[in-house]
Amino acid sequence: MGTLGWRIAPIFFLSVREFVGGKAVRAVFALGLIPALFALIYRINPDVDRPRRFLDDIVIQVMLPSVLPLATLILATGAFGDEIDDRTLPYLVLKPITRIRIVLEKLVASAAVSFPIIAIGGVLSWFLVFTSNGGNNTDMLWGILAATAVGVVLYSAVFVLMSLLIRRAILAAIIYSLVWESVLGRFIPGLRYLSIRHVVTSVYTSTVHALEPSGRPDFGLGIDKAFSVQGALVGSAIVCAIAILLSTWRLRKINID
Amino acid sequence: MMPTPNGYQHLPGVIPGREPTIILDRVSKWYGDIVAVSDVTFGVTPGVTALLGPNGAGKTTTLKMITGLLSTSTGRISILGKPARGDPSVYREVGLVHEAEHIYPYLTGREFVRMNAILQRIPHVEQAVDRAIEIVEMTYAQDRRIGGYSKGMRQRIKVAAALVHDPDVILMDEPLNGMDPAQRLHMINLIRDLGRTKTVMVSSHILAEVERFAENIIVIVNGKLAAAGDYRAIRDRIDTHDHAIRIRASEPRFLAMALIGHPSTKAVRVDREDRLVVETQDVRGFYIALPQLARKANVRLFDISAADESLASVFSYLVEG
Repeated sequence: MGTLGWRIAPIFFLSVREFVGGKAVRAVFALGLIPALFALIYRINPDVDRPRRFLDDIVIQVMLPSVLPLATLILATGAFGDEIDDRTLPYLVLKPITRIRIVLEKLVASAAVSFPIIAIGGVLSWFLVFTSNGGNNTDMLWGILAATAVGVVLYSAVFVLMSLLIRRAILAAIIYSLVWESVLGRFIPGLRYLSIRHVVTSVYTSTVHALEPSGRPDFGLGIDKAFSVQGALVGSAIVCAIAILLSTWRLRKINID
Repeated sequence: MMPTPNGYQHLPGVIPGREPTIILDRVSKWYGDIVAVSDVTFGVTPGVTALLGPNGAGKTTTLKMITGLLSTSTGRISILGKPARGDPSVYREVGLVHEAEHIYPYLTGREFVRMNAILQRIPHVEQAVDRAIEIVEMTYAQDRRIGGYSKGMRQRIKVAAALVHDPDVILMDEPLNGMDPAQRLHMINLIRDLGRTKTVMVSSHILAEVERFAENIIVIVNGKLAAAGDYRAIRDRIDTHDHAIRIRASEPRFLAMALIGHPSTKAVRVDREDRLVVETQDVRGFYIALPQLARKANVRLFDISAADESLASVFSYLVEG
């Protein structure tokens, strides 16, 4: 502490230190490595003809719909939730700084810690699947990184808001991720347009499509090909902005007992 | 827009001739059917004011509403003419030592105070941190992690963090909790010193403690304002009210006969456990006379306690009186 960074963004650095020193980060790390575990199994017994398909399955079926939201929610719901629970939030809110700054620094801290941990799992999976395969598969690597980055920011924004609105935010976030996005999204097709999972998967497939000239099938997952990276990013920015504004409003109104 | 402090001389708690820096105007707070604070109006002027009341009386709720941590259900609160809630700029002039014991355990004491200084956007951070830590005599432990601090040390570092930006208004919720006698003495002296130039409001449930630093008191009982004003005037009012004293002695009836003739004794009875319960209006005179009367009656005293020693009963005098 005492560096220029602390002076510019003290809440960001405080939160990063809290996340990195806490037990929750271990759970995030363990979750983040799940895709790599699948990739390791593939590495031990590889199907040399289908490495791309295998990695796609890991990313689209495991990493983006399950690992990404669950790992992100652990830190994002704790960004304010832990400070409300241990009653340290007054040290931040009783200061002459705008509420939006507190929200932004907390959000960026949550995303900054979550992203590398989750991305490591994706990169490691890519490495394990393709290391003995040769060929240029960097399109998939960029797809994983882009989808992880967008997903971490979006999920963090929504889960930070949840932690300010709901006492048991972690439970609500799990219900959102697993029930709303996974189960309901499967039976009610229109819901996918209100789903971060759909945006994130679209970013992944669109990035891979854009980088691979031959184009690839969408594997029957109902990914909207018209849903471009640009469209996904604009939609994500709008969702993120709404979540930040609502979090700021909530922080102004919240009663801290 | 909140009214300016001018014209609030008539408010309970305002020391005549001083302008109130904190004003509560018909403030209530309820949670569902439970009323925590009910229609409280008072002003706080520069100097040390104690916010007194038994546990659960509504002191912490009141203090949290003053800092803006809690909203009021009805009524308005202003600090230095600004609304207590909704305008973060007011915190430039406010320092709070709040009751929660937990502070970021992974920070050192100095880091914690420095973080508060940075968030207060003060110009010379390191000098301010040095000064605040020195004031609470924590220089020797400033580089140790807060997780390893004793309760008293945590209290002191919280005070340093609240003082680091040199605020005009300082609010302290039970600041002497967890301190050993030497630390208490130091903190009491510090509160007194701060009160010479600033508005200091200290909540406490221990009347004897408050006597040592507060010139003015605000008493809250069951969420209502029970008394406000000069501490000594209120204490005198308590002193002249009937006090009940319970005495365990070798020969309670002989002692009762000795006591009944003394002018400070109003009534004497023996309870079911064979203890004397004496009612007096002159508690100081009674305590001086008791040992002499017991010796004359050849009675040994085993235990003397106030039958109504709890603050709740002390405050009930104020409420009923």
